[in-house]
Amino acid sequence: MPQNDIYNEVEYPGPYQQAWGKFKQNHVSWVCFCIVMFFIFVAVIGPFISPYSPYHQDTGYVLLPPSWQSAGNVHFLLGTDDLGRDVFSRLIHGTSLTFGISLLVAFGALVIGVSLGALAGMSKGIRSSIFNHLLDAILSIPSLLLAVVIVAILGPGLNNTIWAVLLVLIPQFVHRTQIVIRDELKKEYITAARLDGASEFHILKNSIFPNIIESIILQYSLAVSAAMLDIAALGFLGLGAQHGSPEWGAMLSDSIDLIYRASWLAILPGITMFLCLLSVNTVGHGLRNALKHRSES
Amino acid sequence: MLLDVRNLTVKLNNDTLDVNAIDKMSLSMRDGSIHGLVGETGSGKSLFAKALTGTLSEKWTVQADRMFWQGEDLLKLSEEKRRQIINRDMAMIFQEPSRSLDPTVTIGEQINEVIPKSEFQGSIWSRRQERLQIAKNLLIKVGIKHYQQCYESYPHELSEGLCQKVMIAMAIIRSPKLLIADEPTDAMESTTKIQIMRLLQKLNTQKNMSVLLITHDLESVINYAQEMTLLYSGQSVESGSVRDLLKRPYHPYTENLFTSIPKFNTDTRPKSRLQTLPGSTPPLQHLPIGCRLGPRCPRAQKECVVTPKSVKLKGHLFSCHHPINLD
Amino acid sequence: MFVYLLRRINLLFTTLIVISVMSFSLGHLFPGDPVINFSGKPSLTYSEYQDLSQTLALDKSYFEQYLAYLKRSFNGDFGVSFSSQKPILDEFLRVLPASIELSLYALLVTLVFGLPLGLLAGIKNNRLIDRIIFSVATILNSIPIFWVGLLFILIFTLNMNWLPMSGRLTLLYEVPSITGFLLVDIALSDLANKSYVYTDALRHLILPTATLAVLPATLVIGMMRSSVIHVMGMPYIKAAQTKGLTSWQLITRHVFRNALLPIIPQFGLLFNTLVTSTMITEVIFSWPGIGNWIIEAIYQRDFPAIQASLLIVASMMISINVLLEIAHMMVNPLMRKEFNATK
Repeated sequence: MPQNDIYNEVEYPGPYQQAWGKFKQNHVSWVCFCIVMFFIFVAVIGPFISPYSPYHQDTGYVLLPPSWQSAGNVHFLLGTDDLGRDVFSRLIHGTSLTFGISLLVAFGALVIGVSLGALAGMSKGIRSSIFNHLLDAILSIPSLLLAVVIVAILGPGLNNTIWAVLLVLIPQFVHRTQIVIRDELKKEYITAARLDGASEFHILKNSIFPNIIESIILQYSLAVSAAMLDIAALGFLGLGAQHGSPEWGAMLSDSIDLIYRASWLAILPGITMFLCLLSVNTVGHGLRNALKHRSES
Repeated sequence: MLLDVRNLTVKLNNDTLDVNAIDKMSLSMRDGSIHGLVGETGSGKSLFAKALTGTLSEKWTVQADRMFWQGEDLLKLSEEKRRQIINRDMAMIFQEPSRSLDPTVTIGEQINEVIPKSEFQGSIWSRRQERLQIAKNLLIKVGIKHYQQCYESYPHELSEGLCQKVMIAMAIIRSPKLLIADEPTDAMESTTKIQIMRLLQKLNTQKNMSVLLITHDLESVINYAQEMTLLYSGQSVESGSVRDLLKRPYHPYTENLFTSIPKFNTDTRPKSRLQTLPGSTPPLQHLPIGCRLGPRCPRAQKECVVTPKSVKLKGHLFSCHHPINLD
Repeated sequence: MFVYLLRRINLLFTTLIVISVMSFSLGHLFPGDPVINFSGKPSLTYSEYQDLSQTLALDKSYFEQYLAYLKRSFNGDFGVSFSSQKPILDEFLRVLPASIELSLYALLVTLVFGLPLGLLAGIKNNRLIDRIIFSVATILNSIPIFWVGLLFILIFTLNMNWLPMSGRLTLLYEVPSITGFLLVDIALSDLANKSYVYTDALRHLILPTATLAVLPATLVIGMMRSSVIHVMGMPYIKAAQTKGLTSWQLITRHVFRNALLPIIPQFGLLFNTLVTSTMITEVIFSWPGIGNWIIEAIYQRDFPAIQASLLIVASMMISINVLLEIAHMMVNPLMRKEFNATK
């Protein structure tokens, strides 16, 4: 409405800016965003700054409690485990294993899933119907069961876990992308573009994509937390990262036998993982709220 | 006097915004009349209805010098007492009636649940029969011929006009003194529109039910209402009987509004422009101070940055520093 | 309506076929010989191998193999387990009731807590009570389930010594298995001290049920809350407010119903989470159910068992999903409208 804009001095923020502003207004999500950034930072450079190697065994200091307890030692900030390995260093390495890998796996799934989803969303008829049935079938299998089966084919181990989680996440992205594309396709502005003679690819790239990118980012935040849970769960069940690995789930599973004597071994990795999951989920929530508020105002 | 509201101010308290969406508006209604409340979109018509019935959310605060309902000040009563009075005496119908009915419950059940207990005469055992009878009588009363079918339908299976009739039926069951109709015929075909308006008029004359007709459709106000109040951006512009206002408007906005109605009988040249004010209604964030019509008013002068007081003259109430047609 | 049912059943069948193809291909994908993987008999003489290969139709084309597999599956013949050398179906039916029992109680707890809390939070949107419920739900939603289990054990078993740590029953009691559902079996049994057995069984149930219910309950709260908020903003709720209904009538008659109906199909997701959680919970609490059995099968590389469990669990999930959708269609008049509109 250019001719009606009597208030030239007023600048209207763009949609992304608006969502970002809304997001920052919510202090909780903002703090959680900072925590996520911190975890990413630790995941990237953590292995270079950790005080000990995660596998270094200090046989003189076995099962040391965290340093704030009277029996603790300040050299081992969060205590040591049954083989004398520094828990703090192991947690830092675990960040890059559990969280770092989740980020990467979810991103891989995003790229593959969104491209497939775009193909499926834009296609019609028998091809899309076959694809849908396939997707429904895969989505109906509980994700952990699917991951477990894939691990059973490939054999246990962290590398195979990554493949399993990737394969589990892809259908979810495909499904999400397909739904949002279908929703957008129903709207009038797409019809308008089509009447103007835009090609399918042009519509996808210029009309649909900018409008669905936020839901995809949202799905990404969900996928990261799902990937973390799956990787850790497989590690916990002894099907993913093997015993002794600093992966958080594996650390928790190692702690079960010692839970009578060294409860910190069960509590510390749990808290770290909980904090990480909580911040990722809260950022996701904040994002969803920001988007919803923007579409309301 | 049925309803007498003086200097009603409704304030929006938001973290980014703090404005008077309705600014010192006044409105009074006679018993048994149809009163039109006219204004553009966003001028605060619906807000007034909500403030009156007390259904505003917590973001809004309502202040007024007085809000008399049959001599009782509603704002001074306790929340509960106020609810009781409103439930007893007022009823409301909305635009988009199909969205104002619960989509998952049949029409019959929805009518049943608003039938007050006092309507029943027989014993508890004949309730079912009685309910059915009352509901059917109601549907007939509002002019629905296929009442049986309507009774068993879900709202989405009925047309907008039928839904509005059902809404009216549900509104009149408690025989309220005042029916607030918030754009009741918005987005309806003109034949349906006329049916609904006739129905309201009939209820008004037969049951002596006052109607507050909130609309932006000037023509239906001119045709059906006896009195009207004009709103612009939350400020009352002018009010009085429709006939007087038509004959001699004092406020420049009123005159402009009436001349903007296309007339088919006069010698309007083909493809000539309708007369309008320059510019558009200001958004809530950018309300001008003083008279909010100021920037668009052809007669605006220096004094217009001060909010004009309402003046009563020959039965008209208007707020303008430089009225027209005064002589 | 009939066309809709037909379409759903068609979907069910196609999806089941896809699942069975996947399950069938597992037999070839797993490391080792397909004959051994399909039959579950690891040490075979040469002639036995030939015979089995014949009966399983593994010497024919893939398509015929698949048909033979499908036929066997319909007859409930999934081969024998590597580890126990018993028919898999028997094994499966032996562990199934324990899982169903646990999941049912968890589902009950989920609904009993989740729906009212979600409703309350949605109605009191942005008030203190909503913030509390929503924050607690978000926090609980982020706790990994295996850690919840560990924490419960740490607090209630090791520190407080209130509740038992694992299993369904103390070893002292022996309840003959008739239905497999423990609480029913106790009632059917002729034990002298039934009330003691009951208390014992219930005490064993508390921790696993609580662990299992945490995640689904937070999901239900979230779904219900956003649905209620959506409904509360609808014009018909505002209209109902002016009709002179009390808030209680308004909530029970209009809000609850309209908020619950659209989330019925999402309950499929709930079952999905429930199955995943059941697997982990059973491992933590040594609960003799399907989850434990599947994980055990993987440790033992018991391929026929894995293959069969994928087929059965996935089929169950699909059937539940389709049933939910059909149920949704039956109870929600708006769905019928959409369906009629697009027909």
